Amino acid sequence: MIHFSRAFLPCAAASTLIIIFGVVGFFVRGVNFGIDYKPGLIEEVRVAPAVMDITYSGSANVTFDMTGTKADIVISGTGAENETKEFKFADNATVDALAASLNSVDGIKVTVNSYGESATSELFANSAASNKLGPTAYRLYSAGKIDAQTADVRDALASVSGVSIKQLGSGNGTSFQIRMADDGSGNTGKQLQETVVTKLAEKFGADNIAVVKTDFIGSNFSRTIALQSMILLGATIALIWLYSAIRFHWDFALGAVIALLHDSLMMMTFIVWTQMEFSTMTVAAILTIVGYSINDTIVILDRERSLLPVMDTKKFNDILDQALTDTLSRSIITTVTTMFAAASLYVFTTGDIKNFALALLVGLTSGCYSSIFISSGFISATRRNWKPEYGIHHSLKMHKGVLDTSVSV
Amino acid sequence: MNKRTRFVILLVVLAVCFAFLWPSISWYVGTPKEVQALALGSLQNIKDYATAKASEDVLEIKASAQKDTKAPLDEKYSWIEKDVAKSYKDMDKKVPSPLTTGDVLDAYSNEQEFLNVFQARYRDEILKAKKRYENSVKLGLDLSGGMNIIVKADLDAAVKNQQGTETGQNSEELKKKAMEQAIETLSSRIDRFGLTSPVIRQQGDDRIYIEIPGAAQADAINTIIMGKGILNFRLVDSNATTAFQNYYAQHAASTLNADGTLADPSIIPEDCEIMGQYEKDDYGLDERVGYLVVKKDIALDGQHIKSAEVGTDNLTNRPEVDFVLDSEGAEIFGKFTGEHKGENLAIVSDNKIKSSARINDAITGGRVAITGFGLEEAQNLQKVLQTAWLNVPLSVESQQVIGASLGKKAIRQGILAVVVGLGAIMLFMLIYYKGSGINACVAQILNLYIMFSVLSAFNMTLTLSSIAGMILTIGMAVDASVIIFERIKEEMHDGKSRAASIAAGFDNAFWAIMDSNITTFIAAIFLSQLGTGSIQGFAVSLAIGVISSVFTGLFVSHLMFDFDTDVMHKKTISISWRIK
Repeated sequence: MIHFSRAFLPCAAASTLIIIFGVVGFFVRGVNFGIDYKPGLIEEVRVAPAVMDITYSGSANVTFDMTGTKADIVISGTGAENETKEFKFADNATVDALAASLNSVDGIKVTVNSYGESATSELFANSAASNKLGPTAYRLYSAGKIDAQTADVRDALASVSGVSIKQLGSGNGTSFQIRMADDGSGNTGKQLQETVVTKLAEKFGADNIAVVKTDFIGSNFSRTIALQSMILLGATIALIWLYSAIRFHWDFALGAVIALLHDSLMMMTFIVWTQMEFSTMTVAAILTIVGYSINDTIVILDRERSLLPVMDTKKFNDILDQALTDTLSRSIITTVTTMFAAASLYVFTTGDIKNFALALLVGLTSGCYSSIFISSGFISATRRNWKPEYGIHHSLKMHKGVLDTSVSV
Repeated sequence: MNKRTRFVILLVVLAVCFAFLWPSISWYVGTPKEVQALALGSLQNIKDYATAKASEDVLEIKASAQKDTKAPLDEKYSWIEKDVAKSYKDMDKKVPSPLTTGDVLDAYSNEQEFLNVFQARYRDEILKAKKRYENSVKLGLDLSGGMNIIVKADLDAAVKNQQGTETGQNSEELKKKAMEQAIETLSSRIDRFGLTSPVIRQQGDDRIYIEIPGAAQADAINTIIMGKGILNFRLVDSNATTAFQNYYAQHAASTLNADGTLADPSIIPEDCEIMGQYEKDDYGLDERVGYLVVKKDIALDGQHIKSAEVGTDNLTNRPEVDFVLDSEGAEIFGKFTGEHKGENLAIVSDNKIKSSARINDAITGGRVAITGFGLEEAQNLQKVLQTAWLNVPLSVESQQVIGASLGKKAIRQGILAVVVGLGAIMLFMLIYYKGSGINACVAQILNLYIMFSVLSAFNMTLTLSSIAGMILTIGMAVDASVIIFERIKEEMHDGKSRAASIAAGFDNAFWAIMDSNITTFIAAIFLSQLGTGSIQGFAVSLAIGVISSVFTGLFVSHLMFDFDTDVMHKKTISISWRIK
């Protein structure tokens, strides 16, 4: 038996300190709200030359579809045979070679502007354009040809007020996230977007800017969603408390809920001090941890409940220690396995979901810790004056099924 | 339950899941991209495509028959033999063998009939693919790319419409109100059209931003936005209609101008106008079936309709459309129907007559039932009544299809993360729990399989946040196995046999697993009902995952242990490095 109960008080103190630190951070540094919560424009751009222009003239419906290893020309509709033509990058290693192959398709005309010898695997498309080919050129850009730094982008947009720029990714995959607050001057997203693109084009050249993603949000929507997220979180925790109070005892249930609040606050502390972007995905991460950590806590509480009527001891903390020791390997294994999943999410993804995974990792650690030290610590505090003879009384009052489920221990 | 029953239950569950999953598999794996492109087009496009392809084929066969009626039928048309044979049998003739092009043409009485056979074949192929798409898991905008639209609301026109009805409010307030109504109506329309996870936001003062994940179904979007909501009831002038129809029969070619207006307005009374009456055709498109002459005066404006639903007539059991009017509307309608007993009333939406019905009696209560058509027609009419009272004119300002490359990257990353995460978990379980780890791995894989199939069954949209929900589920599914295995180990420490340890392990772990999953489930259901967008997607996949992980963790894993005990006659459990 490990004497976890000795650590209850120090842990409670440490957690309180961290949370106070978080609250201070909240007021000092504020929350870095994402687009969902703060109106404005977020635009992701890449600085790269447009190496290839594709046009189509004909009556069929032709789309261009590109993945990391091949390009597909999908022909459908009237005026041509329905088919999908596949151009593997392995067979068309350079832009020139791909252009030659594409030119063999009826009605398709490809012009190579520059970097004809560069690798096809570096190609990417302007995401804002429809991939349906027509008389207007569909452009493909080649990554890694222009060495643009965050400072250059900032320089280009120096005359625009309220802009923040962040570099996403590195090397050939570099893109820049440009963010402009909606200053309420009545500028539409389109106008803001045009300003950004024009300024960048002045600096880097009109053919060298590819917009990867655009998001604009007005002010009304963000207010409702912020309020709604808070209400949802609160209501969820209240419901969880209600169910656990029915299944366990009120102080067990309160212990579980305190652990949940603890985890949410821990994550907020982390988010505030790392200035991570707070988006709906972050709310999802907190909710994930709420859902996950309750699992952890309930398993421990279940063990405490089943030990209560059968353990021969004078001290309530002994029951807690025994329950925590029994479930320790399970707590660790479950947390570690889920961390595998979260860590692989963190390693392999970018952007929003990477942040989500990071918040998840913090929450998982906090969840495992709070299930052991915080919720049980709270229960220990409420039962300071516990005597063995209460044990039976409490357990009977608590739950009739307890005796069936605890035969083995 | 004995093992056989449990095994059968498991097989049934897996089979049902496979049936749910099938449309998704056949759409994403089995449908060629060009067919996908066609299926995602509008119904009008499909109709055009089928017609064009059919006439091409018919021309080719006719040309070949003209050259030589004895020419054998081209291989690619061999599918038509069955239909030709049926046609010959209907005519009580012997089916010629082998079939020549001449025989094929002889089987049909006219060219239109022959054309229809081809058209139906092309159409059915695409519509079948469309149906598969509709029943499969869709990818959210963040994974697939998708469409976003900016709609501009003509608030000045809306304010103009309102003038005279509501005085005392300044136009700014009215505009705000009109905008709110436009957004609300669009949201509810989009919901009703069954598009998943749409995002609708106000942008600036008079624009609405709509984001629709998955491949763009342009016709659905257009129905939503271009359904102008100009709905009203008008009196049909039956005398004028009869007169017009007589005139039309004699002067079919010269009655109407190309734009549908009358060449000679004097043939109908001055207070009337002509409108086409429309029904849905095979493609679900509006097809004009005739013309009616209706009064220019509006009997009742559509905005008085409060609700509309499809019901059945108590006496005849035939479908009817019931709708409720507000008090002002009820008064107008009661007075009007009282004055025009025995005449016909037309329901006009976007200047198309969707239905016309006889007024049998004065309708005073504000509750109206329209009868006299089939269920499908009733449902169409109900949709018209329900979607069409928006009185803010809308126009599409920009319609943008978001490129898929970003989404493809996200999918690759998501899949890689799930696979590597799952792989690491399974490897860990195999190393830590040795032989029993296999049960946990099987439970994990089945869990993912069931989750995907349920997502597919409910036509859910897969987004990054639902992948996050899945990752959490992977963690929790393994949790059930860990709780059980740890319990089994404890039982074995007490010296119990394999069978007894397993039975006691599962029994003792049961409530811990149930309680922890029920609390999570409560949270998930609550969020899925109240949350929006990404939170909802996350909550739904979490809720599904909770149920399927309990099933795989408790039911499937237990069955596997029992199978090893009773059928493989295992005496020991391979569950830990310390316990032999």
